[in-house]
Amino acid sequence: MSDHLTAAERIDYLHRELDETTDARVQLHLTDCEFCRTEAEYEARLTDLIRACAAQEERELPSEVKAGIWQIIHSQRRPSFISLPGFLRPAISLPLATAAALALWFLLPFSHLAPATVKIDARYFLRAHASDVARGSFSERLVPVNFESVSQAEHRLIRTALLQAVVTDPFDTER
Amino acid sequence: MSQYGKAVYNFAYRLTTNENDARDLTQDAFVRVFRAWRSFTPGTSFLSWVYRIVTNLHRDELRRRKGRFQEEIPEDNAFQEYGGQRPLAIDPIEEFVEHHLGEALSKALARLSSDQRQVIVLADVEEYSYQEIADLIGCSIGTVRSRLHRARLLLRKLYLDERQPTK
Repeated sequence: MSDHLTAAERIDYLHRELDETTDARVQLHLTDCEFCRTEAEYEARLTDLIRACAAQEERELPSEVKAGIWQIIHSQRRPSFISLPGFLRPAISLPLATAAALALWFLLPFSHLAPATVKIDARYFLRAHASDVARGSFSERLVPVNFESVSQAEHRLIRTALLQAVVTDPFDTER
Repeated sequence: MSQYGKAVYNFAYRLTTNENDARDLTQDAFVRVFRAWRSFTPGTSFLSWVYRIVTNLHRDELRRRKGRFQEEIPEDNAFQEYGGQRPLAIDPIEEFVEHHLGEALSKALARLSSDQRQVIVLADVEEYSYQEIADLIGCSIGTVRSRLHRARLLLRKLYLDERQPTK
């Protein structure tokens, strides 16, 4: 057979880097061509020798290399806050934060400590009134209210009192 | 480090062909691994990532030195060459032949250029695919292919040259 495989084809074949078609063609050629088979066997033997040589020279990582690596790593490892700007470092920022918190506590008005104003919905009184009426005796319910007897001035006073009752704490009004 | 230290050190040794440079390279690589830990992509091969760091550092160091790594000082005691452990061999003649073949090949490998040795170590010792080697050393698959072909042809020639005196 005059058309021999190229060295590149033999090397790629040994490294299983040929596509399927070429790989099959090379394999077929190697069964027929003694010259190429001898060359391929030599390449394979060279690969085996390279691996054997590498295995023979296999060595452990020296302990001083390990120690050197750890030493460098530890010397380079710094707390993350060391790279922060000066005013953000804990030694400075913690007292600053405490002082700021105390200043806010003493200087701000104590509005947040005062009790919140209780606002009662007018419907509360309507419901209370309805329940009083429901609990009262039948005869009381029949007593007519003579609105005509209430003067204009009294009417205004009652209205004002009712309005105040709506907007203020009912517990205060009970006192 | 205990898991990958030996593999990385041996890889560095095969690239540099001497112990002192292999130690420096391994040390620099692991320090770089520690610093660049966050850039490692989970799910990918950690060893390949470390090998990439080693090859990059090796290349940088070669550029810095503008030449080869220092030559290894010959050991007086031949046993130390294998870390004090002789490879087991039943037949002394076979051992002698294997040792000399290995020695000739080691010398031939050392005479290759750094790039050629690198691709041979990755393809034949570490058994990476061309694509993996291309990713690892940052070049095209065609470059890997042609570099490996040239390296192997040259290695074959150098190996035969080294074996000539023993014939």
